[in-house]
Amino acid sequence: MSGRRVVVTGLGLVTPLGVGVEDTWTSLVAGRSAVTLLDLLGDGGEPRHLAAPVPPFNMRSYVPDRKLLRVMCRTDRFGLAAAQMAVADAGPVDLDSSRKAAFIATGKEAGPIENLFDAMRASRDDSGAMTSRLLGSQGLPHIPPLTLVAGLPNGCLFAVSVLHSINGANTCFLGSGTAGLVAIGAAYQAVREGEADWAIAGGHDTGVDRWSCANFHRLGMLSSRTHEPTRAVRPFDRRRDGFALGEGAAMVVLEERRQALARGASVWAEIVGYAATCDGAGMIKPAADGSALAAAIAGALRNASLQPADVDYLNAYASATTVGDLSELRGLHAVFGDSHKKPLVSGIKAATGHLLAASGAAEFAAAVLALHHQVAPPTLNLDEPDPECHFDCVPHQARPAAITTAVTISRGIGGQNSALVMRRPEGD
Amino acid sequence: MTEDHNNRRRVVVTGIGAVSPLGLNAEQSWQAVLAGKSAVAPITVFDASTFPVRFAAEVKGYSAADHVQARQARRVLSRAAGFGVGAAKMAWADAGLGDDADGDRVGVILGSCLTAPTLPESNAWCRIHDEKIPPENAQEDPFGFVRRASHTGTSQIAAEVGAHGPTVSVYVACASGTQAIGMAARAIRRRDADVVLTGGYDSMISEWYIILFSLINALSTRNDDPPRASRPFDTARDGFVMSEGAGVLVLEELSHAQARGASIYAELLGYGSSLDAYRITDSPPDGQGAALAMRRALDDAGLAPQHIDYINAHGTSTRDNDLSETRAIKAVFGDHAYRMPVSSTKSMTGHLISAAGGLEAAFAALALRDGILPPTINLETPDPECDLDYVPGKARPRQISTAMSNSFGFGGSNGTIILRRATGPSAREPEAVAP
Repeated sequence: MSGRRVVVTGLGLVTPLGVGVEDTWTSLVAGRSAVTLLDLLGDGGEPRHLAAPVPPFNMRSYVPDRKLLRVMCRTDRFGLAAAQMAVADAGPVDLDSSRKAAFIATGKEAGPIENLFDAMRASRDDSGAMTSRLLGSQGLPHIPPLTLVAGLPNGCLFAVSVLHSINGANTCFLGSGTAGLVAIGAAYQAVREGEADWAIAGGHDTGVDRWSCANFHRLGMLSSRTHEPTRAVRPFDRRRDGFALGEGAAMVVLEERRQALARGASVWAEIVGYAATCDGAGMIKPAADGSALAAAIAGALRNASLQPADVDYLNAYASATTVGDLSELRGLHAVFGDSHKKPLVSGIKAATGHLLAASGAAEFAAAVLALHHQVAPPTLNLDEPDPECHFDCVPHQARPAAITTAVTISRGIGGQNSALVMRRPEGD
Repeated sequence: MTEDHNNRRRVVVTGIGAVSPLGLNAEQSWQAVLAGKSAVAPITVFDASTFPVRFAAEVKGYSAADHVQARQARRVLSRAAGFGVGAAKMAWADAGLGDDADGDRVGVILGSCLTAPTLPESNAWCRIHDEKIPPENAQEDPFGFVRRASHTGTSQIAAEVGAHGPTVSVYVACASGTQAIGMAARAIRRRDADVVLTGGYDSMISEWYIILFSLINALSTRNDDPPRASRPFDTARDGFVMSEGAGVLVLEELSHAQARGASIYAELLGYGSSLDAYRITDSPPDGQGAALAMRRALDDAGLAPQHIDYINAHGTSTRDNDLSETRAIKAVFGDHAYRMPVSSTKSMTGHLISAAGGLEAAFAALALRDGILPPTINLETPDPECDLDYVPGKARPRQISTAMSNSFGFGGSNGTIILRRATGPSAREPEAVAP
C-alpha cells in the first residue's frame, strides 16, 4: 500500500448540544447536558421521557432545494446539514468528481411508519385485524407513493453526492452504534490507499421518537432516572442505569495530506490508524471481557506504529449501561493497564444523549476538537466511579490537557468494536 | 506469487454458499440457472390477490433450523437473516473451514436491509399510536426490533463461525452485495483479515415492500405470465421481479488458502464503486455512473477492457436499467462489447436486492469454474437499442478466463467486481456440464 497520509480538513455537527461545531463544543466544555424530558406521545401530556433532541434549525439555509428535501426525512436532514457545514469548513477543492468519495452511516432503515397509518386503518377487517387482501384493495390508495424512496437508508448519501458532485468510491453503513466510526474508517482507508483524494464521511440518526424509545426500553438500555434528566446518564458511575436517546449527525471531510497543504487548507488533525473487530457473540449476548474492543484499540495503535503510552486522550463509547461500561472498562484496562502513562478518558453521552449510528462520528469529532483546543471534554455525572474504573475520566469539568495523540472508540449492539487514532497536525 | 502487480495481497474465492428461489444451495441454484429455469411464480407467502403485483421468486422449502441449532439464536433471525446464516455456513463448509480457524483473522461483511414489519406488527403499532399507549407499556415481542434490524443476521453469522475480525453491514440498495464483496477484498488486501464471509442476504417479498415497490412502478406487472415477467433487454420488459435469498462467498488471502490446501474457484482481481449523483431512482441515460464503476474495477485489476470475457449484468428488466447498462458497457468496452457475452441471471432468479450481488458473484465464479455461461431467458425480441450478445435462451459452453459482475442501486450507488479463473492444481474441478 502506498500509505498516503490522511488529514481532517472539515467538520460539521448537528447535535442536541447545538447546530454547528462551535455551539456543540462550547456546550460540551461548559458541562451542559442536553438530556431533557419530552412528551414523546405528542399529545400535549406530561413530558416524561428522557431524550436529547436537536434544537430546531432552518434546514433551507443549508439546502435550499425544496424538491430534494421532499424525500429527505428528519435524520437525512441532520446528515445533509452536517455535510454542508463540513464541506464549507474544508473549503473548495479542484478535483475530478471521480476522485471524491462518500461513506455515510445511518440508523435509518425505512421512512416514518406514521406515513402508513391511514393505510393500516383502512385495511382492518371486522375483527380489527389487518389483512393483505384489504391492504391491496382499501389501504393502497392511502399510501404516499414516495414512501419507499423517502425511506431509502442511503438517501442522505444520494443527496450529498448530488449536492457536491461526488462520483467516486462510496458506501452506506447500517447497523449499530459503531457505524459512524466505521464510515470514517472506510473513508480514511479509501484516501490512504489512493481510491480517492477527498472524502466526506460520518453518520446521522435519530432516536428521539416513541418507537426507538419502546425498542431500547424493551432491551433494558435506557436510564429510568426521569426525576433528574441532566444527571440521568452517568457513564462509568456506580449508579449508572442506561442512556438517553439522542439524535443528530456528524460529518467530516478527509483529504490526502499533501493536496490539503498545497491548497492551503487548515487541518484539524491527522488520522494515523484504524481497526475494527467483533465480539462474535451474536446479538443478544454481549461479551463481558471487552477483549475484542481491546484488540481493536491495539490494532489501530499497531497501524499507527504507536504504543499505548503514546495516547494522551481517549474518547470512550461510555453508553452508561451497566454491562456495556463494564466490558469497556475491562477492554481499556487490557490495553492501557500496564502502561506507565495512561490516557485521560472521557465520554460525552451524558451531555449529548446517544446519537446511535451517528455517535461514532460525533465522538470522533469530539476527539478532533479536544486535540485542536487542547482540552479534554468532561464525563458528566461521574460522582462515584465504578470500582473497575482505573482511569482519570475527567469527571464533571473539562480540563486543559496536552494532547498530541487521541483515540476514539465506538461499539454497537451485535458486538462490533472500532477504534481510530489521530494526531495533531504537523506543519510542512 | 502471492502478491499482485501492485505488490498487494491476492484474494481468492474458496467457498460459495447460496439459498435462492432456484435451489437451497449453490450447486442446485447453478444447475437450475444453466437449465434456464425461471423461479418466478404467484406469491404464496401472503395473500396477494388484490395487489397490483401478485408474483415473485420465492425461496421454497428452506428451514433455518437446518443450519442454526440454537433455538434462542433462531428467535432473533428474520426470514432474510435465516437465508444469510444458511448460505454463510454452507460457504464456510464448502471452503473446508471449521472450528479451528483463527477467528481474530476472520471478518464478516454483508449487504442486508430492514425486514418489513408483519401486518399484525404494523396493526399493533397503529393502535399503540391511536390509543396513545406510552412506549414503556407498548407490548411487543422483545426481540421484534432486533429481528427486523438489518445487522442481526450479520452479527449472528459472526457468532456462528467464531469471527472476531471486522463485522460490517452495508446497504446501498441493489448494489449492497457487490459493494460488500469489494470492501471484503480490500480488508484482506490491507491485512485487516485473512478470511471474510461476504455477499448479502435479503427478503423483500412481504406485503409492504411489494406494495411500495409497485407504487413507484419498479415491478413488472405481468401477472398473467409470471415466468416470462423478468425479461432483461427484451423490448417487452416492464420492470423487475422481486426475489429473495442469500449469496455468500468465502474470500481468502491466497497464501492462507494455499497453506491449508484449499481449492479455489477464482481470484478476485478488482473492485470499483461509483455514484451516479443523478436521480434517486433513475440511472442517467448514458450510464456514466455504471461505466465509471466498471472502469474503476478494471483499473484496480490492472486489466484492459478487451481482457474481460463475460459480464454478469445487473440486467434488472426495467426499461431504464437495461438501456443505460448497455450504453455503459459500450462506452467502456467499445467494439469489444459486441464480442463479449453479457447475460442477466435475474431473468431466472428475479432480483434479490441486497443479496443480488452475492448470488451473481457466485454465478460468475461458477461460470469460470465450469466453462459455461448462464443464459438470459425470455429475451425474445431484443430492444433495438440493446444489441449486445446477451446469451439468449440457452446456457453456452465457453471457456473464459475473466468475468465481471455489475450491480447498480437506487440512490445511485454502483459496484463492479472482476474475477479470474483459478488455474493449476489448487483450482476447483468443473462440476456442471452444459444441459
